[in-house]
Amino acid sequence: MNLRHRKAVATNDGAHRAIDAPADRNGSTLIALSQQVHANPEVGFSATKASGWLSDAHAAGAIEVERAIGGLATAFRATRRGIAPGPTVAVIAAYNALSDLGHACSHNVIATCGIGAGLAIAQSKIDFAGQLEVIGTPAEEGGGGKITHARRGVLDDVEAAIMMYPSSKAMTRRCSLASGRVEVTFHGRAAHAAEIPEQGINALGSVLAMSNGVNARRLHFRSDVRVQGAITHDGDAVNIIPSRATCACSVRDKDRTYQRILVSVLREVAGSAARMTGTTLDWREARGYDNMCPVPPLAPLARHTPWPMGWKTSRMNRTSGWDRQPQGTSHN
Amino acid sequence: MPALRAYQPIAHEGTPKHSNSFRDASTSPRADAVVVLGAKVLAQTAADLLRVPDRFASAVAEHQAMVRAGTVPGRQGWTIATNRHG
Repeated sequence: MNLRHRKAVATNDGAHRAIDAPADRNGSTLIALSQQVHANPEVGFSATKASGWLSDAHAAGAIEVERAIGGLATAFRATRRGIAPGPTVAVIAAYNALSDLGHACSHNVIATCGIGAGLAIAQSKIDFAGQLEVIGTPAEEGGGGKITHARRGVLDDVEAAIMMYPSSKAMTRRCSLASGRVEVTFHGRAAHAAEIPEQGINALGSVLAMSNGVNARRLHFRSDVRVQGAITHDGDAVNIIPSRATCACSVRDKDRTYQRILVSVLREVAGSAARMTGTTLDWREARGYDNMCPVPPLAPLARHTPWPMGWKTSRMNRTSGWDRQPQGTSHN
Repeated sequence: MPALRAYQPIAHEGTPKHSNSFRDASTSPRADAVVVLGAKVLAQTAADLLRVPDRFASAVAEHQAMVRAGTVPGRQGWTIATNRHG
């Protein structure tokens, strides 16, 4: 933190104290909400219960809520306007769960931190220029609510964005990778697997060939690359040659340009796998999040905010290294 | 745009996200404490940006420098997004 920032924060101490009181007062409600969202995991764009509860929670404070923004039924935006025109700062709230695993990415905490922040600003009645928005973004584990919001103009006026992320470490300078997904469906021909296999074309064989091909190239990817696959449809029965098989891959790198090159490598490998096995393929790709690097002037406060009472004796308190770089990259 | 993700620990160091352990940690007393702490951190960070124009300007300037250096793509990257999965 340079002198200029330290001075700026010091002048704002009164506002910080004004924020603490409503945040503490709302604590038990926010925690109950976090537990409720955790107990009711919903995946992707279908987080109707969570988005409803989180929107309803704003009724407690002087903050205006719009539901279903940007054409997404499970998105919302809460807005608190300041006393004069100025920049728009967004707090991002995610609330979707992972399929099978439930809330294993702690979006219940992310969401309730965001709601709590909006309520605290509104109820503290501090003066400011500009506006604060709490933006509810569904499908942050596939689909990408923030991406949809960006494409539909929801973020056009937002000039800075902040969010909390529960982790196993305290960090404010961690970057995240540029991401994208591809989905490949291979089409073969079904036939009885024992009586007349020579009439069949095995689409699952193409998926396996593609997997081997990607692994053959893997050593030659840059070291930050993450390519992870899943077979999302294989055969239907052991006595039928699979006529359709689908795999999906997540492709990430810190550099978007290189990430695009990797996608084209996967496209080549998929085509080769189809030629090897006699299938045809459908290729779909989705550009995911751009890489993110935090802006240092936003970090000092998050770094210096004191731990709650009782936390200091924890084994995990400050030993985990506040802001000591390098902190690696995140993989949502 | 200038952005911050403030990570706070709710699980022992090294606990992987997207695991059963992290799911259980997400509803632990430590996670509950982070709900309140996080609300304060975000609200105070937002208050600094909205109340201290110098601070907002320096965040914007740092971000613009990162875009110029090619560290992050910047907002124009959005317009070429092709998200066929919606």
